[in-house]
Amino acid sequence: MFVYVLRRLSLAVPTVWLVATILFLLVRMIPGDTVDVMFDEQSSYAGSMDELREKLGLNDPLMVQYGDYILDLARGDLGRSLFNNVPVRDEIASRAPVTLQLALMTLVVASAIALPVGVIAATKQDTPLDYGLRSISFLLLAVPNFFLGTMVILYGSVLFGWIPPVTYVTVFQDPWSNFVQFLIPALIFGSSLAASQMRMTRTMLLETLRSDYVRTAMSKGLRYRDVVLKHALRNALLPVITIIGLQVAGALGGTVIAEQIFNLPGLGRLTVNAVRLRDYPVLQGVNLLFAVTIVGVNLIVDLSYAYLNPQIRYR
Amino acid sequence: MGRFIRRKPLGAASALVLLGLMLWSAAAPLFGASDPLMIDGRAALQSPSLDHVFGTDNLGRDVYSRVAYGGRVSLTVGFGAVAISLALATAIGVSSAYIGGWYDAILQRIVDAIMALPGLVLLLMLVALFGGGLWQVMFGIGLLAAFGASRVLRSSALSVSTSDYILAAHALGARDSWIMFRHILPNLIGPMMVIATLGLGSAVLAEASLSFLGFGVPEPHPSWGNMISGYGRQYLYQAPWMAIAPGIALTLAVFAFNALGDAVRDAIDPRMRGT
Repeated sequence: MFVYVLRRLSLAVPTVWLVATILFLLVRMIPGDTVDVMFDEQSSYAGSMDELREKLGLNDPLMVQYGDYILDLARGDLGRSLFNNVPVRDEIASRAPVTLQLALMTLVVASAIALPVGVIAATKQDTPLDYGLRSISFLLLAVPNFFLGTMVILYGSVLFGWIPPVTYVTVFQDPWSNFVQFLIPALIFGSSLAASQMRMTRTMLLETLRSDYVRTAMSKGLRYRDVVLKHALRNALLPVITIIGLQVAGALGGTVIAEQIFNLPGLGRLTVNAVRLRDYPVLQGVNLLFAVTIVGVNLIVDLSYAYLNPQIRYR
Repeated sequence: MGRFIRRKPLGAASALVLLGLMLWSAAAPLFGASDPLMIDGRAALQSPSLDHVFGTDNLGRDVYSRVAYGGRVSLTVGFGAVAISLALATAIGVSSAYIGGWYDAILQRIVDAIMALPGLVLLLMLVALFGGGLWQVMFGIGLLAAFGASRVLRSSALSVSTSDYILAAHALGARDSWIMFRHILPNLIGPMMVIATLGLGSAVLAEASLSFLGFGVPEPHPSWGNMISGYGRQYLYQAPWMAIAPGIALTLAVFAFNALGDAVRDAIDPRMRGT
């Protein structure tokens, strides 16, 4: 097990390097650079564009820029923003908690709803309850979450007088309002994730409920409840966890929109701005953090298989 | 076909709804849509009435017409992106599976790296790279969807290329391109159809999300995504119909695409029923 984790971690290094390289090339292929944007916005700037490019290192040959970038990265240095010269690491450190909390809460809320509902739908297969739950999940899959978010803001204010708070409150200032502030976007952006988790849970549970060992457990006279929750669900969860792992990327991407709608100062808004400003180090840094998170989650997902199904051993 | 309609009424109904939506937006003027760009200051922010069934927006433009024309953008991007992603995914997947070796290893590591990034963020950068027009957005979405789809097609192609008749074709001296096109490709029609129909809904959603963030088809041209964001959000309280009408159209289209995709997958791959 330990060796397996080590091997997976060592395989992750080339992946992260490849991500870093792709990002490096991709952001520089975007037409225009920071200096163009600065001069577009502030044409009264006295210095010359070329001087500024020279200072920011944008005139260096691509290979030199790449070498600097990779060497800095190896030392854990993400560089400084081209636009406001703030170290990217500080910028990320102040905003990452918002995005990670949002993504985490989105996934937790989604699973907290999806798993029980999926179990209920499976055990009540082909009853009106099952059809109802499946229809709702199908509808939630189709409603774009930014539309749902917009409607919640509209009807929240009309019906309940609730409007999204303009300022962001940290957990340390006021845990309860922080929780509420994140719960509503998490519910909205978790709805479609919950829908696909629920459908997967239902299908997989139905399949395991038909298997021989479940029939054996039933005929032993165990309680139905125990058979479903202790014997069947454990096996049915494997594919559901795969789906949840895949959804991490979606949840992180979704924060870009959620932060826009609900005024949250996270990495998503930073990214959208950095794309506009052609701020290469910021784009590279934020995306690299996303990539490392996703690669890490994939590893955890693979390891959790062994926990849920002891037949799976990693060497 | 007849059996599909009988076995999958929801899928067949969805196909009908989609055909209706396509016809409606393609032939919008025949269905009473006027010029979606025509500004009429005196008619601004009118609530739905007989003249303007979905009301008017802040510039007095008819929301019904804008939803109808906006459908062209959403549906064109949806179908175009899926066609592009299918072509690219087949090229990547089949060649990767058939050629194997270093080519496969390197290509798959690149796919790994790209799949380690959140799709929407990557899409933002791609659209910044290509520019924000209809075709560029379509290409960006198609390119991005191709990587995930190529995985599925690669594994299908792998299982086909180990079969005996491929070996027999080799023994007969068939060229590699012949084997790929004539022997492997026809076996991938099933997964390709599933990818295509399920991909349509997400492509339409991706376009709308991009427009919502201001990276899609730019104003004044209507798309369902930019109608919900932009002015739609600015005038949300005074004129909610500006955002609600395109939102319902979008939801209806994605719902129909998903239902059709599910039905197609059930018909082709009954093991995955209901997921």
